[in-house]
Amino acid sequence: MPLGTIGLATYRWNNVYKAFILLALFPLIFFYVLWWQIYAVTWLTHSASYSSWLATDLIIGPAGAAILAAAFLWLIYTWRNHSSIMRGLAVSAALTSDAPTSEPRLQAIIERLCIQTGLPLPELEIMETAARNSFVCSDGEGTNCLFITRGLIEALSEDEIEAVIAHELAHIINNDSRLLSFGIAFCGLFPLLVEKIQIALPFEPPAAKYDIQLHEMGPAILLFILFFPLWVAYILTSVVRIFLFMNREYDADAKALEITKNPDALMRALKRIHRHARMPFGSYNLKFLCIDNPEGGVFSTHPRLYSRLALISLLGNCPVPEIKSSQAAPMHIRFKANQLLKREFKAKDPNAPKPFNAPWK
Amino acid sequence: MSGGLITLIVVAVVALFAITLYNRIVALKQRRSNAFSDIDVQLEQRYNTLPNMVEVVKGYAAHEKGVFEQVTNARASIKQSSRMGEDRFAAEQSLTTAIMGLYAVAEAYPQLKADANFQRLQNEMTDLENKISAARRFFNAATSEYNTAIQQFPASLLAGAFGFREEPFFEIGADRVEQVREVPQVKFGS
Repeated sequence: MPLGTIGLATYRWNNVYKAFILLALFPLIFFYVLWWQIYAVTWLTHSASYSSWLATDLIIGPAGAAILAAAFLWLIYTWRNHSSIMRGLAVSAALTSDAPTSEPRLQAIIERLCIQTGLPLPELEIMETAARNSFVCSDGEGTNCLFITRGLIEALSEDEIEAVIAHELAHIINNDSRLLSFGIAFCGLFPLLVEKIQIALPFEPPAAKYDIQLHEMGPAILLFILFFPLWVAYILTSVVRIFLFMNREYDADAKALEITKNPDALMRALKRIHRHARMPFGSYNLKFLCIDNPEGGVFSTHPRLYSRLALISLLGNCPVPEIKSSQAAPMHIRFKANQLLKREFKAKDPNAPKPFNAPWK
Repeated sequence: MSGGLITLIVVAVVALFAITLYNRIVALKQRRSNAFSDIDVQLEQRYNTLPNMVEVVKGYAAHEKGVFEQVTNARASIKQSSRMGEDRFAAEQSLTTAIMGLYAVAEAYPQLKADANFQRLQNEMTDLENKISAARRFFNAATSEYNTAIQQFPASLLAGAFGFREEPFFEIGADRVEQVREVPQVKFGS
């Protein structure tokens, strides 16, 4: 980083470095897992003596190169084929969305911002729900689709909607939907590997092949050796993914600020969205790209509202607005608040007993 | 690896770092300039709207020559000033003060205050002032980023060598601050 973070521009430049470092962790984790697997397998299929280590080392040399190539190919594959992953996500959301409704006010805002940023006009989908949220999908061929809930359009003022759309356009400009599918592909890889190994593994270990030591350890240890790194890798990629997407959220806020130059509207919009952001549909993965996602507690995909507002006020050269204590609260308190919020969305049980006896009966 | 190769690599890395740093400073300077053009558009519009306002005020209070002179002088000094220099900022501040003087005149002439044309122009001016203050906030943020960048350690060496200098902020004038801080007096009835 040639310059420290001292303002909007330097913040965005340094964010790119951070994102690169986080992205580089994905192949590293992948590499670590496959390396471990090869070590374990060669060690198990040979007797655990000096010669086995020698054999392992002999295998590791060419295998290491093969693993690197495989990791690289997987990376390229997900990078190029992200469109199908994104399309899958978009379709699941479109089930609950309406056909593009004519919204002249909204269209005018989108057009204005697209002209300003030089982007092609995205398709607009309106989701008929009172929740306030929005997200954007790219299909990889330059077509972007902007999803906005009815609740957001009706509750927010024009400059706030403008700030929200600028945030979404920032995701398009940053190519975050590609990054999202990349994260999904990498995270989904490890549970998939577990499944494949379970199918492929013959689980009566052929006793003749192994020496006494392995017999004593039993298949439980074998399982542990094979699956433990996969689960560790799964957790690691999930954590890296969360950091990556927090980074992208902050960056989209900064970029939106650069587009609209109206930090107040963005902060107001985020405040007004926050309490009503919970959408009744949409997969976990999709919610990574929503402007706000109150779910998740400690493993929330989005940064805390207070942190976002603090950053915007710092970059936009204006004071932090007052927010309610629950929104500014530390993570464990916020988690409790989310649990409370969940209750509102429980479906009503038609057979449940009535809370009181009607006196007129 | 021979010593020569290592030296070559170190020199290449340092050169790459210096080039990136230089380009970043240039980009920051350009951002400041871009931020100013946002203000410039509004200032230009204010500059062009003002004669109309002066004409309307003259229709009711032609003898308030001092105020009109102030406006004319401020406009003249803007014409002569540089695009982004301190003199421009000072000239714009004096124009703001002159506009305040016009408003003060209107306070003394109820008929002028009630004039539809004057009200329209005043609304337009208020709108412009709001836009200017929003754009100025961004301009000052960009200026502060640039100024800090060229003072930080490795960048300061390059900045000194290539003649990047600290740039002025577009600050709200001292007299204006006084006016803003004054609590407006509201009177009901007469």
